[in-house]
Amino acid sequence: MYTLIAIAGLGIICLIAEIFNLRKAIIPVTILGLLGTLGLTAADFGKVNSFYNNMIITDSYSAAYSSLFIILTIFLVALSGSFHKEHKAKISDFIAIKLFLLTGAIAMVSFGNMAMFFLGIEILSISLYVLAASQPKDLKSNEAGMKYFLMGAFASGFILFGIALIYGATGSFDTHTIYGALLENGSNVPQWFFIGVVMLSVGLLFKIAAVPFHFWAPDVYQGSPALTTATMSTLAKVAAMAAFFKLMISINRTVPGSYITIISIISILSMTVGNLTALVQTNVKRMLAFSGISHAGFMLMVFFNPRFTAGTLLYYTAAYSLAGIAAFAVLLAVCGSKGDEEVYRFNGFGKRNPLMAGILTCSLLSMAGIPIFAGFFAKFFLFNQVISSGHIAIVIIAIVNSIISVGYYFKLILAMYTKDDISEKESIPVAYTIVAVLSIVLNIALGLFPSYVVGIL
Amino acid sequence: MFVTGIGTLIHVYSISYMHDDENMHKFFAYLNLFIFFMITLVMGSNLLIMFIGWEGVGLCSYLLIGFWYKNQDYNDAAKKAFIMNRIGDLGFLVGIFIIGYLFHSVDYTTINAALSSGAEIDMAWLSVAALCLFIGACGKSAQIPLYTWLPDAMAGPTPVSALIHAATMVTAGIFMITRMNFLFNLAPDVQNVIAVVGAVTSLVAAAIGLVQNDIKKVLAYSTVSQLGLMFLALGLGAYEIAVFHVITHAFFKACLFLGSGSVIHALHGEQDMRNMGGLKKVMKITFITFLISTLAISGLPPFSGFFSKDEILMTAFHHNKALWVIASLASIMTAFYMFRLLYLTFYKNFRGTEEQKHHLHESPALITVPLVILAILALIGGAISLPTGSWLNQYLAPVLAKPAEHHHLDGTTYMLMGIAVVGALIGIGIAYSKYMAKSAVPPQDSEITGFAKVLYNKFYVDEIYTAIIVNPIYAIGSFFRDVTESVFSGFIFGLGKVANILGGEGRTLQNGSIGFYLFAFVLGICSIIVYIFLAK
Amino acid sequence: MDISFVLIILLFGAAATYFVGDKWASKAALIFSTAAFAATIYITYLFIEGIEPVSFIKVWVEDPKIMLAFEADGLSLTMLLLTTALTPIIILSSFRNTIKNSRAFYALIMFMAFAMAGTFISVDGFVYYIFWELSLLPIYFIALIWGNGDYESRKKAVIKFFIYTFAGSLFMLAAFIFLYQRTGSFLTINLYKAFLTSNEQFFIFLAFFLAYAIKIPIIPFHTWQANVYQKSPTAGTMLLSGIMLKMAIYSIIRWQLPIAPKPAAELMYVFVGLCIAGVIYGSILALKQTDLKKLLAYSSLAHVGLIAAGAYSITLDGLRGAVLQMIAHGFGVVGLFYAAEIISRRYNTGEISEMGGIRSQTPKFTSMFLILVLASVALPATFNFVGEFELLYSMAQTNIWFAVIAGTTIILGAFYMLRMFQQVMLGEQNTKPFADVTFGEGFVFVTIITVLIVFGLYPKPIVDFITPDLQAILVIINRN
Repeated sequence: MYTLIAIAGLGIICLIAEIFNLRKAIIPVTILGLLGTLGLTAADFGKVNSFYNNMIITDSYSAAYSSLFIILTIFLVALSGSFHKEHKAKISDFIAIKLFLLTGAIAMVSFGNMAMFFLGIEILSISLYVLAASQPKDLKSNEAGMKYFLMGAFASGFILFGIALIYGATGSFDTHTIYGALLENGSNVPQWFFIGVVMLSVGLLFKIAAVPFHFWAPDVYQGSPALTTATMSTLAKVAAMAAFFKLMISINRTVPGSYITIISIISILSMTVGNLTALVQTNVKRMLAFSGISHAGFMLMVFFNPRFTAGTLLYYTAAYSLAGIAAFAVLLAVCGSKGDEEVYRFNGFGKRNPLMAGILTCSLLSMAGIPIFAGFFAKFFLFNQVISSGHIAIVIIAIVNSIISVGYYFKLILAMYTKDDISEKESIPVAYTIVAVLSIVLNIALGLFPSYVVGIL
Repeated sequence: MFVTGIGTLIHVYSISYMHDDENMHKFFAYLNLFIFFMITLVMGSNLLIMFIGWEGVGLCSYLLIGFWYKNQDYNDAAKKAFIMNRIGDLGFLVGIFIIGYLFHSVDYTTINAALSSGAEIDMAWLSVAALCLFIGACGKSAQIPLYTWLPDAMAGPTPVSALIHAATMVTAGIFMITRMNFLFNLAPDVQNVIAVVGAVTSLVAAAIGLVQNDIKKVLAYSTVSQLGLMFLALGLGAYEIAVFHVITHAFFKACLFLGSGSVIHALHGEQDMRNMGGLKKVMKITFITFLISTLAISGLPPFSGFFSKDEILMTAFHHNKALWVIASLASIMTAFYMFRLLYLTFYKNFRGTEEQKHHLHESPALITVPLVILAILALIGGAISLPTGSWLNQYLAPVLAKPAEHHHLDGTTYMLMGIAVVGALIGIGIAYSKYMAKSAVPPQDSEITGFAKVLYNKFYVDEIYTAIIVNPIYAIGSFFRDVTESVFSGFIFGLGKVANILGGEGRTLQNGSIGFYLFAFVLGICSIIVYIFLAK
Repeated sequence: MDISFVLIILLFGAAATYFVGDKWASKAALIFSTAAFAATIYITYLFIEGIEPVSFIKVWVEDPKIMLAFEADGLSLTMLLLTTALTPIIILSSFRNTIKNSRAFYALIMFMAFAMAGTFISVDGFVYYIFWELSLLPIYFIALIWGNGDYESRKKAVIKFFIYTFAGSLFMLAAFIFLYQRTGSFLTINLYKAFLTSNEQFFIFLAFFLAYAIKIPIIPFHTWQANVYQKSPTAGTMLLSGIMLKMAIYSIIRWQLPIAPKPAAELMYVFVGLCIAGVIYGSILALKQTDLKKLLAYSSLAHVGLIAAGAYSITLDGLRGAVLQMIAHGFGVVGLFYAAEIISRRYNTGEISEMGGIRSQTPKFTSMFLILVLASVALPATFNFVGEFELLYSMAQTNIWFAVIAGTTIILGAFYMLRMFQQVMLGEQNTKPFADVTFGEGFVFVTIITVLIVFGLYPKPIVDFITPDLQAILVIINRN
């Protein structure tokens, strides 16, 4: 709870600092504040607290994810400094919006009431709509924001409708009550409860960009400014997934067979469509979008065994998002804030800047699932859980998809190391380098000591 | 013993023969390596050690045949020798495997003991093993169908031909079968095969030798033919006789080869007999030693060749008259072509160039002394195994399972001896009439016609081999390279292409139209709900 | 000191090589790899004398239970010795080349040695899998960046190789995960005891088979090989053919056969037959090659087909022959590729038709090259003969016709190797100059030849070293 307050407060401080002309202090103060909040959040581990009549419940789950989100935001804020150097005047806005985004994310994982859940989603989404359209002079940015807003509103409508149906079936917004109602009535729960759950899921599937609700992602990812894309593909996606998972285990005692089938199909489609389409992309942001879609497909597999997979999901999301941050940091370094993130920009990057090229390689390898990076273990733990729940066919498909994904990840690696240099050495802001190094180090550390994270939940 | 003995003589000979060759030191290194492996072969106490020596001598043969490596034809000959040997070696190996499997050992004494103690051994497999070993022997000792390498091996320096391809390596096959006599005695079918192959080889090779014009090639085919006779003896179970002939053959054949080497040396490399003649006036020692050895090989008493060859013929007569006829025919032909060689090379007038005539001289002592020693041995060597009392048989008795057949000096024996001698004289007579009385000279290559042409081209066996074996393998290779490889890799690449195509499809789907997106959204949710209802 | 120390030396060596910079990289790599070899010898000594336990075991992840477990026994130590012995030789063979960015090049070689060594000594399936995958990365970069020939075709060949191998390995991972579900552990001792139905064994066997068949390679999964061998820099080809494919054959003996023996026994004719088909296929294709390195690649295909056939024959001679021939082939093929490299460096071509007549100018090189050629055709007195003999004998125990067909490799092998030697070395003296081998080059050859001949004449120490472990594994394989 205090986390939430602290961050919201930090956001407001940001805005105020602008008024008082303390622009230079914004980023350092924010980062320090976030670090402090991290400490606060850590205190929440192992305890279950509820606030405001079960509006907010903090437990290990929420603490773990909140920590992850805060770490990601720290990185994103650090990157903002150089990214927005042409819009120095607006830096407070950007940072503040990111902080509010964070509050939305944290609310999404620590809710005890459906209203809170919806609130969190909306805060997150609206912040993202704004960020997506934050380069008004760029047509693509406008388009991205517009598309995201329209489709996001559409999805939110579904979520709301779903919540209404659930309320109608169980009589409460409170998750504990809902759960209790299910327990009591068993199979006598009215039909529309289940439809409500489905609509809720669909809305969330939209947020994590699973097939067939993914169509917005490539366009929005490509059109938005790169830092926003980073936020969307790491923070937003992870938050949505965590919320989805929490929702499912909170209000659904067991997941019925047909639901599992649907999830399987969506998962398979996401993995496959995402991978295959990524193969033919030349724009790196778009490629990462499709790769994100396929990763969403992977992450959906945790629903096969929800009682045991909380730790797995945490690990997978952590590995994926850390790798993503590192990749985007390097992307920012290569392409700057101007747009045009085509693969050919990376030609010969290996020679120009071996460190950053190496980091990008590591992050791509992690996403492809190659040992010794965290992505490999993430996939391994996932496959382990899925096989133990008996769905072997899906694992085979997942494996085939991993093979396919190597194709496009390696396209980028190839360009960096083998194609000839076409541009001169760029000067890379220190912040980018630090963020990239830190995030990939964390990723590798995760890979070397997986027990620490998986064991949390 | 005679490996080292003859080996020494040839070493001495080579010093002079090879003295102006730039790689002389290499030559002697290879020669000694050969002796090493040959000794390994004969002194090993089990099949595996013998095989090591067996392959080793094959290696040295390769190195020595291709000694003048700048000539690719010579290299081809060396390669051919090695590969044909290898075909035989495969047979040998399979034989070793079978024996190892049957007896759990490849040691001679162990196998012998097992066989004589009457242990339960699968006779069918035993015969197969024996056959496989024989295939190995065919490769090394140039019997049909693995003999074509030997005439080509004449590409090597003459001392090599003398040592390896007359006296020692080619006899390794005979040695091996003799060593394993206890095995072959129990496989009578295989023994028949050996006898027949030997006899036929001897006849065919002799036929080819009738019309060859290269002095060394004649000797080569003669070697194959004589080896055939030795195998005939082996096939009839007469091991001591085979060994006897090995020894006498070594004497006179080595002498003949070294003699031909002396001639070639004097003529600075000329090997075609049509360009020789009248050398007996200039190279007396060479001529006399050559004459002695020729008489020995033709089987005239009291030369050594008479005694050993005669024993073979007698054994054949007693076992299988048909084989006796074939062997006798071969012997008559031998007498003919050997004397043809003698007459063409040494008698009449010199037919070569003026240049060569000027340089004609007898060879230095280092060459002639070994010639003399060998000639003497060719002359008196028969003494080691006379019909009356054979020292050789006694010497070999411990090794052989069955005691030697004893040929009584009775009427049949003398009659057979007589027939053999008469046959030889007939052969010599025909040769004399053709080349001495009528002074005929073999025609140039282009003028050879009819059956003689078939003989001259070695029954076209090499060409047949190339067509049946070598070319098909190349064709298969091309097929593999062009067709199957493409199919295999195409399949894998095809998977990648499929993925790319699918990706392209996916890309077109993502068309940017928000209306379409929303449509897909709704479609998705409707299908889900429908499905859920259906599932319930 | 225990066996993990070797891994640490190699890993540290990789980092050190990178950081000492281009000038010193090659020497640093040489020093560290030789140190690793010395350490391995020391550990072997400790193992033989039974002085102190040299295995290493520690828990890495609690759930699922993954142990960092490295075991030293006769078999794994032999393979480790092979790896650490060949790595310095391979590094030494690259010395005369001018290599751009050499610190990355040598660091990658060291790292690959580290990964390969890890696969040989791991007895925890998961750790083994990680090392297996890790070894793929360095060779990908080595072949891609420092390879020769046209870039586009090289890129295609290398990517195909990577994805192909990676795909096979992923199926192996699935098999491991399944086994973990069954037994709760990744350790070999536990996996050997797993009770699996025939059906399960079949699929697990197949999963492993895919991974190994691609790596060895066994036809028809071999199409990546010839191109990659040719386009790789020679050090890369040596690493691939000398050590990496041995990983797969070793794994058959250590992992595939003991865990899932039933399909191997029931379908033995299929698998052995497939391997032998590869022997013939490779030999015949080698006949038709015009590029020297491709010829050697197909020759390698033929040889490893026989080794794999021996392993799948599940006889003591087969397993033993496989291990012996792995060592012999490892050294021999490194030597042959080195010779090919020297020729192509001097004459700037890989086409056999452009070579010829080299012998007259280079007596030393000729002799050494010839000995290697003869070793490759398994001439007795070379180590290769020992291995080949054992392998063919094991074929004879399976089915005499297998021995006959596989045995034709000695004929075909003699054919194409001698023909190659004749076309490359013999004949009229070549007009282009060819300097004879330098001391460094000669040293590599002499080392390899010494190993091949010494052990060819006296293989007893190695045979005695590996036989007990192989017999134990055979017992496990035949446990039903």
